[in-house]
Amino acid sequence: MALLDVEHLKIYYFTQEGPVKAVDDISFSVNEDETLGLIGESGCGKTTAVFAILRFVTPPGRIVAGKIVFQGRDIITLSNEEMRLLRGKGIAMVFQGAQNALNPVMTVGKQISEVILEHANITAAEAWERAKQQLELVGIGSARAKNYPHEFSGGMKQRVMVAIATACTPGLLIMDEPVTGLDVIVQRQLLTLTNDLRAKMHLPIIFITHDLSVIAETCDRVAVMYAGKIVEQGSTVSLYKEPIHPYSKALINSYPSVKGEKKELKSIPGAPPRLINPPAGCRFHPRCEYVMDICRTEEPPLENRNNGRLVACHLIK
Amino acid sequence: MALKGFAGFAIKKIGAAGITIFAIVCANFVIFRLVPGDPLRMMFRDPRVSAEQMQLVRERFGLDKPLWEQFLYYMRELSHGNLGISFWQKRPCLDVIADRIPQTLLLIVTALVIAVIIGTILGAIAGWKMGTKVDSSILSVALTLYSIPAFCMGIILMLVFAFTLSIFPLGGISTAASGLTGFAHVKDVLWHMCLPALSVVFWYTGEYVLLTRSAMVDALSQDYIITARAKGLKESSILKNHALRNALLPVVTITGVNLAFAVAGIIEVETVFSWPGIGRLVYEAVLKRDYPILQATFIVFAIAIVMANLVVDLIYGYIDPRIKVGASE
Amino acid sequence: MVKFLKQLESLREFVKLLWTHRMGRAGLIIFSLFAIVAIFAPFLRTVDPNITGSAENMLVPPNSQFWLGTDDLARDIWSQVLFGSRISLMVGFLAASLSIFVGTMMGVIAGFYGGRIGEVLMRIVDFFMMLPTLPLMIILAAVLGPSVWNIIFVVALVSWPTTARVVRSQVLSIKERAFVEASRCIGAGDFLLMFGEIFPNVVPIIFAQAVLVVTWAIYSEAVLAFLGLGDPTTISWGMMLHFAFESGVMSRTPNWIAPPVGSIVVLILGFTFLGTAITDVLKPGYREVRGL
Repeated sequence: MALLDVEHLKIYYFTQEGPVKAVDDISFSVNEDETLGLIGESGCGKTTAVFAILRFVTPPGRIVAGKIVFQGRDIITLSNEEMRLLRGKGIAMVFQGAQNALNPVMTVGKQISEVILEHANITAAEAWERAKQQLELVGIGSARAKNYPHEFSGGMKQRVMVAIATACTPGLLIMDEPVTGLDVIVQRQLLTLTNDLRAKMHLPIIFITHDLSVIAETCDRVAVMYAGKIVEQGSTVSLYKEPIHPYSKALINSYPSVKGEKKELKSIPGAPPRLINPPAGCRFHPRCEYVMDICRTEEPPLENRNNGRLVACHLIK
Repeated sequence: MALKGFAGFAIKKIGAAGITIFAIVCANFVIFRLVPGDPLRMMFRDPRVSAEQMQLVRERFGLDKPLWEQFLYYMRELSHGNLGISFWQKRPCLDVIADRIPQTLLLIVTALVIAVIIGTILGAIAGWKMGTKVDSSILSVALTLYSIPAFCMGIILMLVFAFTLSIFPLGGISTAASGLTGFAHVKDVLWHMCLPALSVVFWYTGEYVLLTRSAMVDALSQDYIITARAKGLKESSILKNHALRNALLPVVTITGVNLAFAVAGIIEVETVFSWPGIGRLVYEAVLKRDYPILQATFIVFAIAIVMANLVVDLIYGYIDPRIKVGASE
Repeated sequence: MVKFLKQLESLREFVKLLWTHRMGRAGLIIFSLFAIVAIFAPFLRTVDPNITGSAENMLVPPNSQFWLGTDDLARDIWSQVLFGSRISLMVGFLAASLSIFVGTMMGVIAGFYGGRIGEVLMRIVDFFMMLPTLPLMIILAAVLGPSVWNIIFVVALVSWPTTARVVRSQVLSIKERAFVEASRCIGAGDFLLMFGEIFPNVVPIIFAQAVLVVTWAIYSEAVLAFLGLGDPTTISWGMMLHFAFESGVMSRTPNWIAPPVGSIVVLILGFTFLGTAITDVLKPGYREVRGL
């Protein structure tokens, strides 16, 4: 059984203009000790989906259908208190490095120790020691435990976030665009840290980004999302080598390669659809260069191709 | 020259306060000298004052000397604590004011402390529960209280509770000629203080509720609150350690600026209830056209506000780690 | 001309938006009520509020002739209240206009030019903000003499700094935005930029600020009048309270006290509601939340 099983999840935002189908029937799973990447353009629903795993969907959004089964329990049915106990300990999250993701008036040490104290029955002094160890673990050093967030650079703040998220050895770590907006050198440091921690703690990770190269660095499997749906899923290596869905193909092809032959960069014409009124049939059909008649009317189901690849496209028939 | 952390901050603020006080003192001089009309005629509107008497007074007060000499004279006297002589009471203004300070301090400190505590608590609750019935009720009450000027509130309270219901006295600081001493006297003063203090408290509480509520709403919309939730912290922890601690920062800052309104409230309320403080003194001086007192009270209020602002700024510098610890590397 | 018409149109839109807001609606109603009273006062069964009368008409309780009774000089209270609204609204709007005008000028210049000029202007603003407002107004009113125009001037003098500060920070944030850069690139001069591009974006916040200043002006006029610094030729609500307070018969004449107190409180309340509504309505996303 997988560690996390998302089954036919649907999240709609009920606005005055009508329901926005942000996430419309997606299913994926994460196994122990593996990293799943979730890639897609802005607004495709990837953040909404993982926010649902932490039950952070607030009105006017609502989970309308589906199951999120974590360690055998359906998260959607948990009580608020059970969910609260799960956050930080069972499932932890690292957010995009916004300026204000850390409380500006609390020392970083305290911000780490408070999550430890919440989930473990130890003294404050012991929690402080563990917090200092976490800082060592992420490469910041325990001497800086009493510093405040504004005394750190962007990359270091992200490391603090990682320290906080891994402080209670979570069963699942979700990282939402953790390196977006950081310069490449800092990105590299952070990705190295992630891989290190993953190796050390055997941490399953869901990694969200719109950057293909980052996924290539860190993820075993990858799911491609478009307009609230998963269009392709499979092992990173094989999907990158041989993408099947036209969207994945276009994504991979739009990326320049440092080695290899010089080829012309192809961008995808058009823009992602507004999810209040998505296109009928396959949602990608208005932009697809292989579009057929059936694509305009019938939605392709996510089907199992050979060797573990899942694709939602009429082309494969 | 970039001084680090709190020390640099403190020095800058103290320096600024000093300059402000100097500017206020100059402004005070200017207001009275540069106003159209003979200052002397202003002071003595009584046409029976003869020309010779006017000339005597002119020389006495140095008003026949050139302006810049008057200014130097003014500054020198001021630094010696000489705030002028009251026309009406015929004593140094400083003494007149000093007599009244304790009563005003008693009233303003009590009222402000009560108002700030109640206001911040209610405002924090309203902000935390934004959008609920609790929030709308607190908000409506606060907006209403904020819209009632202190003197209006004073008049209303006086009419209802002093005149009609006779629960509280009509004014003054103690029952006249009662000869009460010790604890009984203290109780008597407190009883007299109720209505005037309440009049100030209502408006000020309204303001603080509005302030704290909006600061709270702001704080709750920040990213670090999401981070805190993702940690699985209890709601009470999030409220206390994350939301409140950040929301209180702007509230502290505004407290300094608000003191001018507290002063206004005190003047109004002391007038309505005949409370023998500096506020009431201002009213009496207006009635009697006692300009030296008006000038002196202005300086006293202004300097008090500048000093209070300085204290508030220093406190803020201490509690905000971004200032205390200095800029990032 | 077209721009002016467009602005009128957006003004109508704006008022409609305010009407959807609960407090905005209340505020608009209250303001309209007082405005109607102020404009049509002579037709609403009033006499000259300044005319004193004979002894037997003094301190008369409300009756069919004097709807709210008379004060201690036999002046009709009903007339005083109705005509008093003229003073309050006039002082409110004139003082606010002057204050907003000066404050906006200073704010736009300080924000736009920044640097030395901005620093100096902000120091001046800071200085003014530190001054104790009521004592300053009292001194100025006492020295300048009791007249409505002096009151308007004094109120504007004390309130322009807040507007300047608010406008300046808005200008600073607008300055950063790309379209200003773009306009500069095509050679727009300073003046054009300031009034063509930046000013229109500052207008919403000026609205919000204006309502605040009007509230404050109405309050200030009432306080100054109550303390005896009002214009004795025009009886405002504050003056009424001043006379009532000085007369010594305040306790026996609620009909003298309640109308002016009530009017002051309700008018300020109305503008406070309007102010809250304007701030809410101007927040991005208000339309969406309301489903408009």
